[in-house]
Amino acid sequence: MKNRFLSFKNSELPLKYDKANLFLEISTAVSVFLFSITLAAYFMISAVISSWNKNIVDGLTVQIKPASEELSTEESQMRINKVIMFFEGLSGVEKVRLVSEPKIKKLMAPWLGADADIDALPLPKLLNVRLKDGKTFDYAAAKASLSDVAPYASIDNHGIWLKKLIKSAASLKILSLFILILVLTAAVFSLFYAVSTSLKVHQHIIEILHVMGATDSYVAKQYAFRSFWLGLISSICGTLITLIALFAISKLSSGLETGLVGAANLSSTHWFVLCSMPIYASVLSMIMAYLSVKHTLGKIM
Amino acid sequence: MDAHKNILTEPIVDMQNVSIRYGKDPEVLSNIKLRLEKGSFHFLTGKSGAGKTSLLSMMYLALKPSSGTVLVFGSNIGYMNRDSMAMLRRRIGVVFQDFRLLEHLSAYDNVAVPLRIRGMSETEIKKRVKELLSWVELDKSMDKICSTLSGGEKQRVAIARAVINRPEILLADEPTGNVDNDIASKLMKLFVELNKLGTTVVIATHSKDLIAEYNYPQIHLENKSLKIIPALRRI
Repeated sequence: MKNRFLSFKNSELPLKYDKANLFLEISTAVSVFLFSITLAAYFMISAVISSWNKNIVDGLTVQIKPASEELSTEESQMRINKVIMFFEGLSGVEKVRLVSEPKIKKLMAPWLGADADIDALPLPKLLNVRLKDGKTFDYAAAKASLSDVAPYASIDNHGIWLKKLIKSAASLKILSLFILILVLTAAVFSLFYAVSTSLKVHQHIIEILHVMGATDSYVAKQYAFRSFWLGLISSICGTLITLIALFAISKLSSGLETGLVGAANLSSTHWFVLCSMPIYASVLSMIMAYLSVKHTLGKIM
Repeated sequence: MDAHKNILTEPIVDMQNVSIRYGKDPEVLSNIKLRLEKGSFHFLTGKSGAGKTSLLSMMYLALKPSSGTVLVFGSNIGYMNRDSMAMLRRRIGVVFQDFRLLEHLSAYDNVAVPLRIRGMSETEIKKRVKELLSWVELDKSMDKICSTLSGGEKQRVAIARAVINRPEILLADEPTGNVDNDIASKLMKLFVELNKLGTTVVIATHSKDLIAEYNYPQIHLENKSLKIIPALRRI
């Protein structure tokens, strides 16, 4: 038996001439663009939040004030070693690493300019302390003990300001989720409206089909098939526009310093999800058209 | 044995105390009773507005009675869901007075619709449709879009579409109204042949010549009620 769903050329309903098609094509393309770009933003914000959370949970920075000129190099090194040993002795610490001078210079360069004589500045030494489990690490106790052992060192707990940033980013994430739901709802209602209008336009043909024994599903499949192709073509356009927009945004932002938002990149999984959008959109269009026809026919005929 | 007899004599259409009213208008048909046996042939007669179309509409399940019971193939149409009604309709062929063809499709595709609805293969559809269109002398016009066909051609397409499924009931509203005598005679011959094969036929007509020539019993509608006028002789 031939699959009716695949034999659209034999469709009894002249759906390809529907005036609502252009409206649906444009609205689907725009919806897919808005949905994809918002989804990309959602992915980026999630990646940034995850990166910031990792920073809070995984480690802390210890700052050792610059030694006075009276101290010898050995004495200065001893001061640093003392702090390193202090942290290595704490439970919950996995690794302590001294940040190299070139790295510090690189970090300072954006603030002081490329031409600044950084060597002439009394820069502090920095230690990166990697924690086994940041959630159970006792910051207060470590801070108190450190002030006794090495008063010239201080713990820079970036968790305090990162938490504020995370809170703001989380709000943006919720906002983007809200926009995603809004776009999806608008797209579904547009489709429902277009299908209902089309059913009324073709009511006389559907009545004839019913007299000949067509079920509502038979009619619904013709709409579903049409909506699938229409959704696929429109969403490919919408996705292409999204990819161009993301490429443009990436080009424009490449010149900016991205110390804080360096992690706002899309992973290969994210790109896969975004590029697969036409499949999701067309399948959703197909299902929604099918359900809309079944629902509407039960009411109007 | 009795059960077997009951099955054989179960009517195809059974209407009991049926009335039809559209909105708040007066009743079109009032308290009618009708029993159509399998393999029967009736003409449906009555003046315009007597309720012929309403009666036919109930038989092809497009209209539910305002009161009373209508059984088609033993199923009460008042209590059927949409899918069950669709399945029953596949056993019924209908020819409308205004043809109700799908004007944007070709003659071939119009006749193929009932078979496609049934899910038949395109190879089988092609074979059956070509054969039938050839029989109604439309083989040269099968690829023409229906909107370009003449009234007579449209009527033959409508009849071909109604009988392509080899229906158990054939309901036709003025099926020979727009064709010349030769074609009308040929179409009536088709209906008679289908009837001989077991199809129950009801033809609504105003043509006294047709009724006289074929002399089947009449379902006559007058003053909202129905009476059966028996055939005088059998041909």
